[in-house]
Amino acid sequence: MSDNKTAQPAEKLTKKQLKADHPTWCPACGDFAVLASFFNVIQKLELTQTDFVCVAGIGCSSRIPYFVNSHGIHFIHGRAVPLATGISLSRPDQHVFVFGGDGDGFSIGGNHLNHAARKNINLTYIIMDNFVYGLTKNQTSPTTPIGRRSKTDPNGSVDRPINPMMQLLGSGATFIGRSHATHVKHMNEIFERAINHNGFSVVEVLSECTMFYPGAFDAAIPRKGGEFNLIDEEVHDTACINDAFELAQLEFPGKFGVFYQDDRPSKNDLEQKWIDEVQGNLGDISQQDLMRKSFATMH
Amino acid sequence: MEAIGGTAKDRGKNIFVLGLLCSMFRLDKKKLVGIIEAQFGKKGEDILRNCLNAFDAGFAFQTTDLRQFQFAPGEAGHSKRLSTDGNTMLGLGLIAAGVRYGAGYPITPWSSIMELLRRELPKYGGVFMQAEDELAAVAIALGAAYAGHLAVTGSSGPGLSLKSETLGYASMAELPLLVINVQRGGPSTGLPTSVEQSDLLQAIYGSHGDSPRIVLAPKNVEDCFYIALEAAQLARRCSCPVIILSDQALATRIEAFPEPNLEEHWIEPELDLSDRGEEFKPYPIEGQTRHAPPGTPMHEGTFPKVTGLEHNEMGHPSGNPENHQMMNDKRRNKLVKLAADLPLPDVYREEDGEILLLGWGSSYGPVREACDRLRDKGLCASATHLRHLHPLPQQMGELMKKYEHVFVVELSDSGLYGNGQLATILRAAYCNPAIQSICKTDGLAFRVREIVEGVDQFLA
Repeated sequence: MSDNKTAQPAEKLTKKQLKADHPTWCPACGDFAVLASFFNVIQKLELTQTDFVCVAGIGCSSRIPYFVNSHGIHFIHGRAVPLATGISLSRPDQHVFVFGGDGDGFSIGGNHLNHAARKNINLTYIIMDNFVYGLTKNQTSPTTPIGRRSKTDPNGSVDRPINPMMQLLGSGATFIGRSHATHVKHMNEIFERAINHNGFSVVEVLSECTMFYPGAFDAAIPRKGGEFNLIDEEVHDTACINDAFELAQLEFPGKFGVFYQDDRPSKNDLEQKWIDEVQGNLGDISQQDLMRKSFATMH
Repeated sequence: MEAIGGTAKDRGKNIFVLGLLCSMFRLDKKKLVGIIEAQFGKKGEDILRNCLNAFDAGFAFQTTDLRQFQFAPGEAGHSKRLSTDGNTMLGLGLIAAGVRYGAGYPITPWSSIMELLRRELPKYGGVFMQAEDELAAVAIALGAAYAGHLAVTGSSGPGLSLKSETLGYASMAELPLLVINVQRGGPSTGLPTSVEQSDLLQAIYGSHGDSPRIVLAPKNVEDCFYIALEAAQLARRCSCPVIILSDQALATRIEAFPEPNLEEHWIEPELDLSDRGEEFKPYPIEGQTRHAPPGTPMHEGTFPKVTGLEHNEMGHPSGNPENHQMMNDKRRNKLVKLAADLPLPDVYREEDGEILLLGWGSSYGPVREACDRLRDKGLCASATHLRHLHPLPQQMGELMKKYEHVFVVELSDSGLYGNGQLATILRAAYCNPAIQSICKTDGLAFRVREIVEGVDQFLA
């Protein structure tokens, strides 16, 4: 496809080639580390820019497609997952990455997350969870803890927050991981495993909003007195959903790593199987003749 | 039925009426009996006997006070003829137009198109997906469009409302997308199985901001096939959403017409990942947007972004005032250019300038017949039918100027100012006081009489 005129990277991409616009995030935002980790994994897996596409909805973290020098689309609030579904099903040659926050994923786009997960659409979804609406400047989000004050809950949030791991396990996602933006090596590992998973892989990354919710995740940062507890996969069976539900119910900040992985076929596989079967049964027939056969039933 | 030994529960009522119709219209009795035997013979002797008794009873029923009709035997022409409904032809038209991907959500009367596509597309190597809701359906289809395919979503009025935000996005991001709206009675859940043409303004304007798109409407069942092909060509040409406004009457009505010649009417699906050259810009101010889908190699290694934020030519977000004005001009002007290329609709009967009946959608037949009746009454009437509703053909204003009265016949409310939805647009576009409305919203298709009376009332 490339000729000597096109400047396609022949091998591993450099960071410089992968970077596009400088991120518009606030200084020290956790999302910088998520982006850096994403670049690390793209490099490690030796993907080139014609191999993958970045998709996002609306939110601070959803600006990522502008910061990655690859094909990318910045869509509307909450619908990044169905848009990515359309890309994934119609372009099996592409790795499809979806980026977004807790509002985009668990609130306005919550229903899409559930259905894409149960249908096991082949894509990787990275949710940067900061427990707050940052782009619109400090309103309560679906993951805001009870009692936390915001502009829409001046006396403290009263609604029970979503437990992302419980939600994702219940929805039927086939790869569920959890990481923390201050632990880049851990993110690298989880992202890589998510990308290599065939089916709907989702990773929740606790990514601090230094502007509106500083210190939200200190409880999982050792140098700030917290504990970063990893899931011990010698003990935890990632194929066991009951164990995963138990892990998901640990008190915040809980554990980090792969909660659950299931290798049931993806929607992409199942649709392709149907196509192969039906086309096999039809045998060697041109598409126009196929339609003429339909016409013949209406004569 | 009980009188001839059957029970109300048994099959018989429909067959009785079939016998009655057979005698009224002097149909081929032998052929019908043969069909009944083929259909019910396998279900057991008792059932078949019951059916034939019912048929005979209907055939022999006293019909002295009913008119009898005699049909001349038809002659087979050169081409084969199809008889089917509008939704079927729209679905097949989409496949012939090169559509291989799409998504939808069930809603009457759109569902049978999505059922057809779900069933048929795998045969053509494609996928039609049932989505969790209307918002996901349009987003999935748009994802396939961004990925470089021609894709479709569809619904009925309430579903189109839910898709509106994404339609605005598709206008802004300049992505091609086919959207079917099989209209029904509204507003809200309204009359799901009745006909209305009251989604026109929603189709043309429904979204936030200024979001130009193309709106087409088929005039009969046969046209459902060809309008899908035209919609596909226009979506590719203008890289914007194209809405096809069908309606409940067209969706379920069965008509007979010549089989389409697929050698002439077939668009091969194409995924173009070719090199776009060094000067590639996703949103050229002076040119037509032609997106480079994922997987396309890029010169200088700079990859394009597709976005709903106002953007510059490279797809980067830009709040620059001049840029926003220029980009709005760009998105509008491609439709202005298209209007100049659109043909004027044919005029039925002579163009001699007193009365023009102007219809759209499923009222094609009754409008023409009403025109004939007005002629019979000595009035100088012509009729025309719009398939291109937005943009309108550029010469449309000139065409209407030739007439003293233009009656826009449409199934929408006459509104606060006395004009239906299409009449409102035509009046605003051409400031022509000759434009009048003949409107109704009773959920039924126009009767010829209603159109003629509408004209009479106005002229009285």
